[in-house]
Amino acid sequence: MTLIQLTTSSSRKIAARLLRMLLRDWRVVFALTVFVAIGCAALVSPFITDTMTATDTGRLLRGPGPGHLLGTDNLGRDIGARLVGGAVVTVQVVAIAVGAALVVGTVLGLLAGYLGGWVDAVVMRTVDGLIAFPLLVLALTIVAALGPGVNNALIAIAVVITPQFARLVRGEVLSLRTRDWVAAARIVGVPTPVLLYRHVLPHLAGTLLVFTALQASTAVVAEGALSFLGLGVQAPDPSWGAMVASGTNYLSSNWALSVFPGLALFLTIAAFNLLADALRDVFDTHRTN
Amino acid sequence: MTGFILRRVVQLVIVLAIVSVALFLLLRLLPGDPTTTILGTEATHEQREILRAELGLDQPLIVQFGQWILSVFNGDLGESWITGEPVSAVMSDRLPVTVQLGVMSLLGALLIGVPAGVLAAVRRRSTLDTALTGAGVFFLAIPNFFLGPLLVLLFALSLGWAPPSGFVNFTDDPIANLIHMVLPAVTVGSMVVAVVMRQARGAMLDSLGGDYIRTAKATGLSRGRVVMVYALRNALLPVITVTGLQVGALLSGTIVTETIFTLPGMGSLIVNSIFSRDLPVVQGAVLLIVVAVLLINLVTDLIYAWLDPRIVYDAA
Repeated sequence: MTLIQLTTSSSRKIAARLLRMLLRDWRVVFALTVFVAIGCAALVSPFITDTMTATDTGRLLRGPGPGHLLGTDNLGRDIGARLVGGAVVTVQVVAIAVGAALVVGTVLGLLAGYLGGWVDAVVMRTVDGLIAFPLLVLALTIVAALGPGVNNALIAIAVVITPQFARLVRGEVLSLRTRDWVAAARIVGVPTPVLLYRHVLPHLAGTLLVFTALQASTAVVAEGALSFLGLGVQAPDPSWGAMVASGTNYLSSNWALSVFPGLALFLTIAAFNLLADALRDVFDTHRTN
Repeated sequence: MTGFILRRVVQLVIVLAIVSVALFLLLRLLPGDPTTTILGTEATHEQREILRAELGLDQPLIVQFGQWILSVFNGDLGESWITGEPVSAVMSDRLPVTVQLGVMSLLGALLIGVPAGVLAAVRRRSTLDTALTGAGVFFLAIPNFFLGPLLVLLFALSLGWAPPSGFVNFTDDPIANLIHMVLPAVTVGSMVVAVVMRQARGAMLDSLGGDYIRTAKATGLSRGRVVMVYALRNALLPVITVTGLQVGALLSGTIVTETIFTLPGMGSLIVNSIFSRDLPVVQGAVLLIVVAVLLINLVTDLIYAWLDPRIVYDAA
């Protein structure tokens, strides 16, 4: 067995052991259950768009019961169906906005930390400027500039979160770049992109995983808040934040309208927070609470 | 210490410069014609051109930015495009509401969060610890735009203990003012309580494990004195930093909360101005919030440096 085979087989063993450790943790199981439910809802929702927008004018603001399992909203639309539809936005927020922020922020952080000089100065001063804004205030300002709507909300959330990733990665890279193996790779003449990808990035995996889970939780809250304020997802498309908002006008006639979408958001956010805690325990990276 | 303060102030000025450029550019890139916002769609081309010149919108961007910054330094944030009132006057009516909401929720968060964290740490792994930690997880995960309606449903509509929304000036009726502010303050403060408690618990566990605690116990000091004087004093340092860093999140919370409870504060001002495309008001209000957050962070750092004699900042 060659050395390379040996290291890959042992790293696979480590990965398998980490995975087993994680799957025994109730927090991970809870998070995965919530994610699977949201994923299934998002997959089903294209097939029930008619149910989502159909108005049952004879039954406005009904509580949970037969016919409409979770009740109806102020236009007589089925709350359950709209709840399923709202999952799509949540998936978009995590997959598109957080995904983009993760990639762009990591690349910027890697370059700033490794290259230093004016690249570092430009990236980090921009990051400082953006981080100075309270999160929702910046997101609101961006939506104010671009106009309300789900795409602009996704852009705003990505822009708000990207500097967080850039700052984290840059800090890690600053300490990694002085390590022996990085110096060795540089001396042998490994091109910078390859060096960053192969010899620096893998060491950030654990930290980034924990941080991504935390940022996903932040992003879901931010989208919910934007849609709650009427600046995110626009009617008649369903979004949990917008549903909570419309329900606040009818709290005394039908509590279900606010409570079910609010619970969906709560479970999603809790899932990401608990997942981050569990991952942190396993990877024992920086305490970023 | 003087060197440290000076360095921090210079940093603050640099960040502020970047923030103001970003804020200016972001809102100048706004699609749509601001003259439509002010004059409506019926105005003639000439009327629009006159207004454009009046607002300085016909000047190059860099000149516009220079004029804006100059007037900001003179305390002139421009005039609302909708009402024509000076932005600073609009904000001075709104600011006290947000400040009161922020102070009430922050004080509440500290008064509840610190003792809860200390209790959880002292009774580590007890049922109480589990319950408090569980409550922390709950309050960290519940978005304030959901907690607000829940509180209204429970305490205003079902129990009738507090009004569901509205605002009374403190100077008009202090009691009514406080009653109206309780639910909003709980809504804003819930997340901060969770963060403070988590931090206080962690910091207490760290300091309770220290050698000096064992020594203090060995000298026969009472348990209460060891916990409250020896351990808590050291544990409070990180709590201060974390609380200072929460001010940004707290202000984000006031935006949503003021909308829920129809409070006439800065948050609802920003949201309403975004809807009416009243750009100078959005710009002024956001700038004020960012300046406030930066100043509070600076003060937090200074308090931290002042409280912890081990920190020598001038050496760096």
